[in-house]
Amino acid sequence: MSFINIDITKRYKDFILKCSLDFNNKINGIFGPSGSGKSTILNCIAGFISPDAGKIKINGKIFYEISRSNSLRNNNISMNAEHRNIGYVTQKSNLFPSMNVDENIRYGYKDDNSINVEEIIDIMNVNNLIHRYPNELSGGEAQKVSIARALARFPSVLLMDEPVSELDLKSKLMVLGYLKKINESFSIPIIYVSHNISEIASICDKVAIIENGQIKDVKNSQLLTYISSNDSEFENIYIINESISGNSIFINNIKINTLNKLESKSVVILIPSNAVILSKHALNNIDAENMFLGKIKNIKSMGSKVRVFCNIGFDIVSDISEYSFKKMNLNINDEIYVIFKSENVKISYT
Amino acid sequence: MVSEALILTIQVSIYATLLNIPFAILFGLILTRYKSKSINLTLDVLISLPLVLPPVLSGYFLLVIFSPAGFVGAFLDNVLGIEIVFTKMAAVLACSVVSFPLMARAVIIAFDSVNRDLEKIARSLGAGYFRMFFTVTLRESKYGVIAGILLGFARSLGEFGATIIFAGNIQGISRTIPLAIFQSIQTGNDNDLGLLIFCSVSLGFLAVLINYFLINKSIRNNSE
Repeated sequence: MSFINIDITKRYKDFILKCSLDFNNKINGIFGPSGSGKSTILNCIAGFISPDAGKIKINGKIFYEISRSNSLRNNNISMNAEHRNIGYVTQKSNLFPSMNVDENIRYGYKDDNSINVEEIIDIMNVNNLIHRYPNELSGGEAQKVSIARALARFPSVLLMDEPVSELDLKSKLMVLGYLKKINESFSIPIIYVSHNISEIASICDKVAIIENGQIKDVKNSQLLTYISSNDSEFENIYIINESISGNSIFINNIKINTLNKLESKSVVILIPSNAVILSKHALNNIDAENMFLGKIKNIKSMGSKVRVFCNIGFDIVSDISEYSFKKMNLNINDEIYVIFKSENVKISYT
Repeated sequence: MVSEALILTIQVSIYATLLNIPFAILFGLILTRYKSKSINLTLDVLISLPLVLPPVLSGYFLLVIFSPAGFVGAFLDNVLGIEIVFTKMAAVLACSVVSFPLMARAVIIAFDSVNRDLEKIARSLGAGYFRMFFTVTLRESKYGVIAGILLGFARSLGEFGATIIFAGNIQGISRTIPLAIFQSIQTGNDNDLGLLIFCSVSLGFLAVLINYFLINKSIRNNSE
């Protein structure tokens, strides 16, 4: 059963948004290029923008319902933003500058919450920051506090508008890891908006693809088979929420060797697509610790390079040059060896 | 005479400033948060007008409106039994009209510099308009708003033209420092002139100095 129902239209001077979506209580993504209407959908759900007509229903509660029909005008509902109980996290952390971290987190806290602030501070690992002011935090720390602040209200849905796009790699992986943890620990559904396909693919269970204000497709996870239009850089991101130790990690029961000794409850792993080598034959005596036999699932030309979507027990993307692609004569469903060095497996602890 | 003028000047300026604060905040909010071009244009012109009109003319308009023959004056006189013209209240009104544009402009700039996303976030966290205004909008713009209030106060300290027309030049009632200086020069009695000039310059200097620090603080705050 869907947890989030959105069916709205919003008309601007030279842009029309038509959005019909049913999302579950997991992490749901909205993926599309800049200006496609992603943020407008979030703003409509949050109550900052009023759609022209339609319905927004979250967990059985109607936030907005306006009918175009005159006979139904009396049943119109448009709940104020402050009564919708949503969590809203933006690209910039947008912490209140004159409040310290503790005051920021407690701003929307309600005493009758089923979770307490201390629990959130603990889970988001911001205990050591609570007396600091926003200008004393790094980008990643500020975004963690921003998420903790949204959670403190125990929202019915967490809206995230490109929350990691301004963060460095380490902070980005850290924040992405927390999102999975939040969804699992608190059962709060998340709508995650981004124009970065690898971010979306790594954390979302269901993804809506939007272009020019129109929902083009809705896919259930495994979005990697969707061929993104113009993403020049692709990062394979994997979020592992299970105890790990030693020098290896398991993704879908496939053992990956890493450079560092690991000891953590959960990690986020990133393997850049240009660090993934393809070979038609097994290679011996090679300076790379990870080699797996898999299959090519999809191929897309990206100008001077070719993006090859493979499955080796889990999905992985490799970007190779057009020259190599022609020389190797690769085709969909071909068997392929996927190779990458341990040092290219970048790890962040959450 | 000097101490009397000094106390009266400060009193009148404080009252005029207090009178202006709610209007400056209201106009500031409308002009920065309300998206109606025609309303914004009308308000903008109204706010700026006293800045470009000769203060004597502002005083004359006040006189027309508040004299017992004027439409507001007649109402106050007949219904409430209050006379405004040539009273301390007239001096306060004259100062408030002339200093309002400076205060309002500074408040508008201060409100405009507040990140709107912070207000959105506050509302998503359950804050209604009042809580959002006091905990986010006003809190984040406080240095700019205080600087504007101080600028309005400083302008009131030096007000002359509108006051002399609307409130007269009555010792103990409307003879503020600028009017006392005028009186001293007019009558050739320059015993107190030096002290009056010293008071006027000192008060103005102090107000502008504090204003300078507040504006710098406000700029630093916004850039963080």
